[in-house]
Amino acid sequence: MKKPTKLNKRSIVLVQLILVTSIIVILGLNIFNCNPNKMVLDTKPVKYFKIEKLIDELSFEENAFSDFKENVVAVEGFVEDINSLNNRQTVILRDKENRNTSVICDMQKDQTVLIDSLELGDQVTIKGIFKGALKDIILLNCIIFNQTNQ
Amino acid sequence: MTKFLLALFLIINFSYAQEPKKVIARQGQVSFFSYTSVENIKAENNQVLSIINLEDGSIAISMLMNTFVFEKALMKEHFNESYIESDIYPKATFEGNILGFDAALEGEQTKIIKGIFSMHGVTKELEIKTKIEKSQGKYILSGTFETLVKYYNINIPPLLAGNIAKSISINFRFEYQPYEN
Repeated sequence: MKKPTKLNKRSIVLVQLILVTSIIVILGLNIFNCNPNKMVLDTKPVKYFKIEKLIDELSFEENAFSDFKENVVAVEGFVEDINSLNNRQTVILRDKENRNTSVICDMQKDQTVLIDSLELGDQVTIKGIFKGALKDIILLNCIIFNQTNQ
Repeated sequence: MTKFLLALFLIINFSYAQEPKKVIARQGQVSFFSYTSVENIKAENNQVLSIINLEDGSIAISMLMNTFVFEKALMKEHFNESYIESDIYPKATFEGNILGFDAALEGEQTKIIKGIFSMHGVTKELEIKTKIEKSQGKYILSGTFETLVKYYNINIPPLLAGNIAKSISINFRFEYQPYEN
């Protein structure tokens, strides 16, 4: 068997160095540039809710959602309000019975066209990062969810 | 004449009956700023809940700490995991009273809100100067105040101490709607 020459040794070291650097750069980019908007776009929801079920669960147990907090979920409900308060686009979903609790969906900026096509009372499914609940349930980085974007 | 007086009486009574006893802001905004020579940190929370009882001027505010939005993901991570520990202390709350509040007054008034603020397991009495605007039955509360990081038992590693200001500037703005609960 041929002994590795000095040049070959250098090449091996160089390749190893490139590999290690690449891994560090990729990991670094993932850690530091974790983009929640992209996360919502690319990730399949860990849970799909009809809004009635979500509100029911909240009324029974405040910590009912700890399993999917900070995860992407999809919620199907009826448009109660669309507003641009605080210079942000927000869609608020309610259930059929129009109970006191709603789902506040803070939308991604590129959703404008889809939001403009919505009307109050429309049935819609919204995907976003589940943050928790005060009086209402809060989802951030939301997008309108349909067959084409998932 | 009797009919006119009766109509007037009914209109006045009806309008009084329509005055809400409570108002609610479900998308209140609270933002904070930390200015240092190393870096500026800004974050805002746009889903802050607040309810005012117009009869006695009492006010309650509640916010989830993990709904603050930062410019950089790493800032958000440090804030939630190392400083505020939002898993352990998920909410910040304020309960207080608007001193000398006249809910019927149209236009602008400046009042002091005095109450107890709880965050990161620490409760602190606060007095905040607040602008209150009333127009067509809607109330808007807004203001700015400063607070010190050291009050809230937040541990900042010495290495990062230069990145975070000792005094943090806080802005708030709430738009209230009538609330029937």
